Amino acid sequence: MPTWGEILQELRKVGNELKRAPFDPVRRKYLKKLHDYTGRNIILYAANWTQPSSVPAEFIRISDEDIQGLMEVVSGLSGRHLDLIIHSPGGSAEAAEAMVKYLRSKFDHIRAIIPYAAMSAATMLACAANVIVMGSHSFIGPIDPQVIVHTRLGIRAVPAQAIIDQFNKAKRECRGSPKNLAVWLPIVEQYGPALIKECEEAINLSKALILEWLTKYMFSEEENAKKRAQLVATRLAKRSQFKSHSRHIDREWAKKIGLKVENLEDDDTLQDLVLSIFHATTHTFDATPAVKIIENHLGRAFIKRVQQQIVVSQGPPKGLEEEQQ
Amino acid sequence: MANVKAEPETKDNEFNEMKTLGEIAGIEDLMAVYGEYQNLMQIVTAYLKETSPKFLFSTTDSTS
Repeated sequence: MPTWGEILQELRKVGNELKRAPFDPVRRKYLKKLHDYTGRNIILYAANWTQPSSVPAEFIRISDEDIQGLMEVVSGLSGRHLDLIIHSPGGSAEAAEAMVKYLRSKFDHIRAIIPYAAMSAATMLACAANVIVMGSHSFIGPIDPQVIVHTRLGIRAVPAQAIIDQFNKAKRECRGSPKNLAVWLPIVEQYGPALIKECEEAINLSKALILEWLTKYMFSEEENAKKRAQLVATRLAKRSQFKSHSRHIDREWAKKIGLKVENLEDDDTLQDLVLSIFHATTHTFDATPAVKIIENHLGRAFIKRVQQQIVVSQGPPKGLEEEQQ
Repeated sequence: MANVKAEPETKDNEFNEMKTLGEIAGIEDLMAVYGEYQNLMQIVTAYLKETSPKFLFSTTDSTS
């Protein structure tokens, strides 16, 4: 299994030989090798979120601009099979839905490969695959939505279910004892006119989306697809079970929840290539201002840096383009 | 893969292919557009020079 240090040594060697930054060439080399090995299209969707840094959340989360990135990397791909390598903290459920719609219009069979972690909305994205591939070190996360609330203490991301639970608690405590209202009022006042309803709808949306995707894709060949999907959706969205939105669900737990998960270690070559891509990607994040990379095996990429974004658009080199056709 | 050995000819092909892939627009071009190419190269050089794995235990055999 390649290590972080071995990839670093390779980066140094390639940097000396090419006399340029070696991160793009090395990462792309392994993306191409993975394509050569599997015969499937490869798309890397990775954000700089596990490295210690001060990158603002809005730069790395799943957002509508990712569609632009996917458009860039889907362009020029042939074939209906895709391996989607996901390394993401999550983000907007609505953007994830748009990504799934777009990817599913292009690919019939999708494997979501998680080299380390795909949390929250990125877990939802993985649930739209036919199968999820995880290592023993890989994680997904709960899908209960977080709501951005402007409080007197500043902007906070609060679990939607926690807001509903707290509101119900306030109702209970004030029903028999109106004097408790004075204690609860400063908290309830911050909720705004429609927050409780919005929370309920956000919870319903995340469950409904993965119910639909699991039924349609992951469990499509099973007789009780909808029932199984319902069970998984309910379990992944159950905040009381996980206690924290950042809870890491490992492979065995994901299987117990009911997801269709394959072991990355079952195929040594696949594991080596996926981890080589992952290490090369984290080195890229550590050493350059790139904070999000959406890239395919032909070297086409959409790269976002800390302050501004640019679509890196250029056809693949002639040799590769011919090979892909 | 970092720990798989390749024949010299295959290695040459692999290197050329990597070089070609590296020529497709990427991070260097992105930084150049924003006039930050030199800054990028300084950061990259420092990273590759100064970052070292503290411990490396590997079963990779490079003696044969």
